[in-house]
Amino acid sequence: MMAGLLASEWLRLRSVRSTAYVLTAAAGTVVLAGLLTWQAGATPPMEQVFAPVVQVCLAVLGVLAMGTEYATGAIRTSLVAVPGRRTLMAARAAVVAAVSFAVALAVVLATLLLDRWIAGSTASPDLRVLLGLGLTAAVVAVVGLGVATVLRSTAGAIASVVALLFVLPAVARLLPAPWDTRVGSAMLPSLAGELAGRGGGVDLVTAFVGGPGLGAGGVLPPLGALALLAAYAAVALAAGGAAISLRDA
Amino acid sequence: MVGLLRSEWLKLRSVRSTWWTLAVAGSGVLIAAALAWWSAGYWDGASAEARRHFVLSPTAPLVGWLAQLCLAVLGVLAITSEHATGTIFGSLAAVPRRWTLLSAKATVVGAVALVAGEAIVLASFLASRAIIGDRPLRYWTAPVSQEVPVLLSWGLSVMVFALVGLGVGAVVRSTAGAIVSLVVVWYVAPIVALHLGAPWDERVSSALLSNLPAELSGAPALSGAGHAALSPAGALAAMAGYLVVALGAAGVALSRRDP
Repeated sequence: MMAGLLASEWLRLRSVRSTAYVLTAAAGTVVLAGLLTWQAGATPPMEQVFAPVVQVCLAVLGVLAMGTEYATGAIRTSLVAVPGRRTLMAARAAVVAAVSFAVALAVVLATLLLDRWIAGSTASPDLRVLLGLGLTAAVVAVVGLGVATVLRSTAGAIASVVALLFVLPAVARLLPAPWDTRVGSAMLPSLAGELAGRGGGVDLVTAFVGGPGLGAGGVLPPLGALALLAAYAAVALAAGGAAISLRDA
Repeated sequence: MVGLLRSEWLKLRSVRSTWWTLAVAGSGVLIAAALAWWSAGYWDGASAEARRHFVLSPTAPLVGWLAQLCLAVLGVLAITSEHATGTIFGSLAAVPRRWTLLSAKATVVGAVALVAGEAIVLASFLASRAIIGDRPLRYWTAPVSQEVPVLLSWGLSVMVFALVGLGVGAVVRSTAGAIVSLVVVWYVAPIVALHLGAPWDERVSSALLSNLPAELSGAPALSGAGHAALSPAGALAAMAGYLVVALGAAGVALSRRDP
């Protein structure tokens, strides 16, 4: 039963054009990062610079996995085929999370290897950072799926995920110390660095918003970051599961 | 033309998404007020040493930045929801001249975004200032008249983002695609530009839409444009350039393709 369901969700995901667009955009960051490294010479770790772009791409993948079904009415067919609503949601989330994790890991690894080749660097990469970036991207995609299920609107869901990824961290940076660091290290984009034991390592909130940087570093240890990451996914799935169960499609 | 503008205004104000995006943009006022309130409370209880290190960055850029995205979504939806639902057929049957339809839409979206942007940025500043009062916080002691260019610039940039959203929406026709494109313009491009090798990091940064309001307000330190920063007049011209390109592309796309 579950295997068939997962297969159908996988078929659904790979047979829509938007998935191809999203994955092309994610893969495009590898090329862009390579060009930047080539143009600028010594650069900061490009896989971390482009992590937010990859996260947004995969968040959109998650949003569209549910949002387009509500927009087109396909959700009703899906629910006729799979009346267990939480089951449907779980299968879809599993497929989206697996695809996102694999894509993010591949993009991050490709970026890293390309940059090393172009820059001629021999420093060994921190595998925990790569794994952290992949995990974070998978959770971001699941959060996108959950938000889209609750809001049932593609535009609203994408804007919400963007707020979660970009706006809230920017607001957190303006909080008076020590809360800027504390709240900042609980934000989704910081978790990838903290997972790897580099508190606040991925500080990518734009410089143009102004204000001081994200403190000296995050305060979460790797296990705490992992728990928080799991909590983000759990809350999004629980909210989505409740919304899809309680309302008519 | 008056009837056309009235119909576009009716269309815009009768959909829920308009009020949602405006409400989220307006919540920036609350965020700014909360930050000011928290800072004021901290200041009152802090030692002289802690006060010396305390900084509350100007909140107008943050609020304007949030409003830029919200109103850009509004601009996107003004056209992509017509394509998604098919009402674009009705709109073009009523107004067969596509450039006319686009200019009416752009006028209404631009006016709403300009009023909303200026009102939100101004209200957030006045609320924060009222809460902070005469506490000598760094960045919060200049006379209000000195802040006016900053506030006007960020408010104006909200309108530019809304119209660029409308233009991109008309070209891409997909809500998700258009919003993601705007996010790239709004957030990703400035970060990527910062990582270019000198002198291109500053040259490219100076021309990016996200950096124009800081340059327009005469405070380019916030823009990452460094030595290449545009003068206020140059930034204004660049904003106009973005509008011409986005709306021009939208007009061509609307005219050349079937809806």
